[in-house]
Amino acid sequence: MKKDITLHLNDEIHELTVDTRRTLLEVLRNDLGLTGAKEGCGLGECGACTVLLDGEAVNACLVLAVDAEKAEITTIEGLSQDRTLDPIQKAFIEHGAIQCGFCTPGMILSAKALLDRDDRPTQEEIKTALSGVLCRCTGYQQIIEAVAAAAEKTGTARPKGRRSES
Amino acid sequence: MTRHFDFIGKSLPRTDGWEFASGAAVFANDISLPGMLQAKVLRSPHPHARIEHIDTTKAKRLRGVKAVLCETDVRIRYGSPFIKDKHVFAVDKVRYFGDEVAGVAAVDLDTAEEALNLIRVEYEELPVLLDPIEAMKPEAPLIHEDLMRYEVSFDCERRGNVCSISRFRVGDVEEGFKEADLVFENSFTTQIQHQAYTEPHSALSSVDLMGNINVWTTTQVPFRLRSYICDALGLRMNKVRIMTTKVGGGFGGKKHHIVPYSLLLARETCKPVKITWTREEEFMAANPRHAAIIKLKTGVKKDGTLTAIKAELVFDTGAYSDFGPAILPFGGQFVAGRYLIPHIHVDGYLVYTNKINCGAFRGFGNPQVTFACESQMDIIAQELSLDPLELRLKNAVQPGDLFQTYNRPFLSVAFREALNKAAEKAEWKKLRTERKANRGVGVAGMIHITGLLGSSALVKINEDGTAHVVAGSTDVGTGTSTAIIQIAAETLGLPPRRISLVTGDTDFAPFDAATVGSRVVYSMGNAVKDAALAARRQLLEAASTKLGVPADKLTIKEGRILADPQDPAGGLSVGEAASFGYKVGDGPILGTGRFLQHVPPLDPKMVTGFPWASHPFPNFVHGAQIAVVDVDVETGEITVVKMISVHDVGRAVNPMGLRGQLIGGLCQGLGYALMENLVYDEKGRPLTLDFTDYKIPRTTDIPVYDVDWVETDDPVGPFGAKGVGEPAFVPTAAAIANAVYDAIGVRLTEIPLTAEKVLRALGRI
Repeated sequence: MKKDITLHLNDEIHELTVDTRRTLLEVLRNDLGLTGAKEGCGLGECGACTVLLDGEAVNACLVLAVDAEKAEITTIEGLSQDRTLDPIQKAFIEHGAIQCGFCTPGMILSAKALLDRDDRPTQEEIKTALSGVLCRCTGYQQIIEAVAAAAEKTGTARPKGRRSES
Repeated sequence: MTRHFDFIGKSLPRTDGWEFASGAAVFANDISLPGMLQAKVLRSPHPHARIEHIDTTKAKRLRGVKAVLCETDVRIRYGSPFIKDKHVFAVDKVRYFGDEVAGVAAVDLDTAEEALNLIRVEYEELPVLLDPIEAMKPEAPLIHEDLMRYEVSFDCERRGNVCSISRFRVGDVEEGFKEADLVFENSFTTQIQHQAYTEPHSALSSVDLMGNINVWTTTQVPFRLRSYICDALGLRMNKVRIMTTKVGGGFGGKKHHIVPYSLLLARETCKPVKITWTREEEFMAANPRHAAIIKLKTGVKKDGTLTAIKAELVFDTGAYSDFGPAILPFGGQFVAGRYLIPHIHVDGYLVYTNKINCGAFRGFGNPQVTFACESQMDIIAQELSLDPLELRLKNAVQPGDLFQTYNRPFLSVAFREALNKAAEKAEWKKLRTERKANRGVGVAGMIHITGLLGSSALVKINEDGTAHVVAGSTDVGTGTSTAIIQIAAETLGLPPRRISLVTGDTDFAPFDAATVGSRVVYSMGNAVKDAALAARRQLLEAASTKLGVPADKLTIKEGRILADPQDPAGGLSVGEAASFGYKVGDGPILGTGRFLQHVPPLDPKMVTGFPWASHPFPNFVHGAQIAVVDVDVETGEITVVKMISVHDVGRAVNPMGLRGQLIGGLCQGLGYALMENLVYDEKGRPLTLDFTDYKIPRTTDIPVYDVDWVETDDPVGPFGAKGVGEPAFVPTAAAIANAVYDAIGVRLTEIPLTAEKVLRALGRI
């Protein structure tokens, strides 16, 4: 069955007709040509397809496109504004957090979701926030360092000293 | 002596990092072509069965299906380079659960999947062999009845289900045991480990009316892939173009396997055909690390001097041989090389079973052997009441020593330095004396290769003083692209930002053997350096003519060719020299470079059953790793608290990238040691087909990493550099197992070291 839907995606509005069985990941990749979100497992286990729905990191392979209608969707392509990389993207490059790069979009968006709600996360909070994304290359250390460095940069613009309450 | 470098040794961020960070990087499954079809493969639901009949009629009739292929259409041998035992689509028999039986191309994936359900295959089930020891018995049913008739590419000793036997003989092992005061006999077992790269295999092929073939795929070995395809299909290399996309993790697993399923269907339909494996297919039917059973008999004097080692290796290759005939002796050669052992005797058996077809994975047979040998070193140390570190230092190879398996001296060695530095960083003595309950510390050493086979490259200097390096080696995520640019920059005297790398296309790039064997920085690095030196010579000659200064009086600094280094604004720019070159000099500036390190063939009296005996491995690296673990004796859970890793890297070309390689190897090794295991039920059905059942380390599993290196300034490596891709993986499991022993006094000889095994060993279950 097909349905007309409207997606609020990367600050743009997309009107399209999709098969109701299609996942958000399929629609992003196949219908909209946004291939930054990757399919690593299709089961919500690897996190390579992570996108932001209303600022929350979710597996796009587990969300039906028709259910994403009401949300603000951000993919990795929407993170860099005005041809400028987001501080998290820059930090990943500068801190050696990228090896094969397949998990990178999912990692960066998971980090984005974290830093948007808590700009001074602890090491453990970073690990927890990224634990849904599998990386097979880096051993995670330089990714965690990159997120911490990005937090340092973004955090200085905000009130200091606030720690996560959790 | 400290050498000064402008760009070598600098932590230059990945030059291609922005592509991945922004989502712009194109992986194989990101590519679509107009009119493209999607393909799926029908896989065997039986581990061992005779194919009685295949009926594809209904599938072919389904609307949207464009082609169906199986053994009745194509019988092409492909996939096992040393023993030609595999077809693209199974012929007469299936040999494991997941074996490829048929392929479908259709207008979309749903249709292709539906078509698979319409293919009728009648099977006659056959006895299933899962245990390689059972499979080796003379009375065992045969998995490959035609083994003795298969075409082979080396002196392949084989019988029954043993498809290849490798032997090493150095000295007289019985003599060595006579010299020993004690002889240790131990057996070790390792599991099947999957590369679990995050990107599944994918390939897209198109064939035009003239038969020109274009393939876009995720491969570490574009040139080897081209050669395999041409061999299998009887094609000429000028008609086959392989375009390497970004590779989402390789670790040895991304090679040639998937391509024919898209290519044959593209040829059949005259349309582009893409195929991507699901994660389930990856765990069912890729080419993971061989499980192994390793028996070691080692002679030692009371003072700890090793006198002899006798090893029996059984590597379970699964349904086909793939790279096994090389992996087995590759591992076998490394029973020696860390420690001097005058008498060596190795018999290795590569055995067929009805399981997934095992192949190359970071370390290539070495991790299995190193787990066994380095575990046994600690058993020996315990019995002799020696510190495990001291036992290693006592026997460790030093500069001037021979790699005894090849009877050839090492070019550069820093094993003792690595062991000492790791111990210092770990505070080894303190950890060994100030005991904490259920905490243990373990050390393991390792030897590995760097470099093999040949590479070639081009360096083009543009008229504005920028440069293109054309190098066909794949960067599988290890950052070799950036290292290559640094090597070119250092040689040319150009800043890295002025150099771009052209790669990923067998039509454009000159030949490179493959991204394997920790060889890209070493072998391709040398080829690029050679090409850059040629371009530099041409630039200096052009500048010499223009400036009227002898070329040997000129130098290049920051993109300017200078007669007087004190006058950085003088001379002329590289761009001016390049322009002069193509207008009135000797022509455009084009450096060609190539590299192959010659090594004498191995003595057939010492080595048999080694496919690369005519061109063995040219150079070696050593390393040492220390693990600190906590064991929960109630739950059996092992927590790796800290991993220390120190490797001989020759020269650190890019410290940040190097650190990433070492840490990544440690993490993957931690998975091998503690959790990863591809498991089958008693009927041969795979049980670990997703990341829930096949666990790999997540952020929450990682220890504190402390990685470092020793620089030996290798005489052959570019600027002294050696490869670092594989080594940190190799000794990790042994270091962790030794630490577990140190923590709880119980020796586990089988990885992964699960909580269940710990509790059993402690007698708690």
